[in-house]
Amino acid sequence: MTPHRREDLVRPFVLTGGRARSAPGAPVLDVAAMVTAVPGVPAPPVQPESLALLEQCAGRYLSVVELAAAIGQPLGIARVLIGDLLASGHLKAATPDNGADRIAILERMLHGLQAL
Amino acid sequence: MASRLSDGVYVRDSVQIAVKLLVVGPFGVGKTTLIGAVSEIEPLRTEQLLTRAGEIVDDLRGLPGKNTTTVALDFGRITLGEDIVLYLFGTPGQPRFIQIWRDVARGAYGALVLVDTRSLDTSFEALGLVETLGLPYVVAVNAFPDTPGYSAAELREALDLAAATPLITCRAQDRESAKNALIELVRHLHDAYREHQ
Repeated sequence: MTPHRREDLVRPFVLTGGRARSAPGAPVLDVAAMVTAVPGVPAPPVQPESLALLEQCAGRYLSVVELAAAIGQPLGIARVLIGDLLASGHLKAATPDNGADRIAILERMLHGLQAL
Repeated sequence: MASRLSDGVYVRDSVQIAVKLLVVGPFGVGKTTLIGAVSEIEPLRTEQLLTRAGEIVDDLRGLPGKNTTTVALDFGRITLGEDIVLYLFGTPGQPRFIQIWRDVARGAYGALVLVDTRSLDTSFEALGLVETLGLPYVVAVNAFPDTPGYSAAELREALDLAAATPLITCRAQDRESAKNALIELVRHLHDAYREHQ
């Protein structure tokens, strides 16, 4: 909770070559955007952190924020790496349900919570 | 949203709707405790880089490390039914973290504001934050053993709550109680969104 100094701050951004976005003007991925690894795509990434991302979401969908926690990188760094893997086709994002009716979803959430 | 088998049968494409709810409140009020009580995973923590001025770091080039801090973002997950995954995010309610909140709150449905009646003043910032973000919310008093017994009317007045804003009591470490707080929140959100339809 408490903000603290990060002595190793420089290192994470070395992973992204100093970039805070995957590409100039690329949209910022939502923290809850769900992605999954696409198997069989050639030229897998060489960076261990990027490989770790692919391993984490092989065969399942995971959110951007969970992936960041799983590979132990700050959210901003993980977003750039995930953005690169989406661009290279190694990851694919779940289709966001933009047309979803919030009221209907809330009703389903309510039933889901009551059933817990 | 439907599973496309041609995309690969290796994964069930069912969980597609990710819903975000925020748990807001002052340090030590029990945000992560509440998230942990209901989450199907151990609450996870990730960090967000901020400049000292409170801006989310956008470009590190030319930014010496000493000008940045990190802020922890704790979160949990609950899968509801076949295709809804609910993410609960807790971060500190101080106004200087507004950029982080804006980022996390994008598309969020609403917020649970946790209040500690032993220090009500610390809750104003959290209430101000959710109002700034424009999120509908429910206020939940986290009942600690030495929580003073204020009446609901006294609390409402002290917190300057609108009549339509639900005020509930919960015990953040208790799964049933935390779950019920979320149920109250979802009920309120349902009503709030229906009114605005």
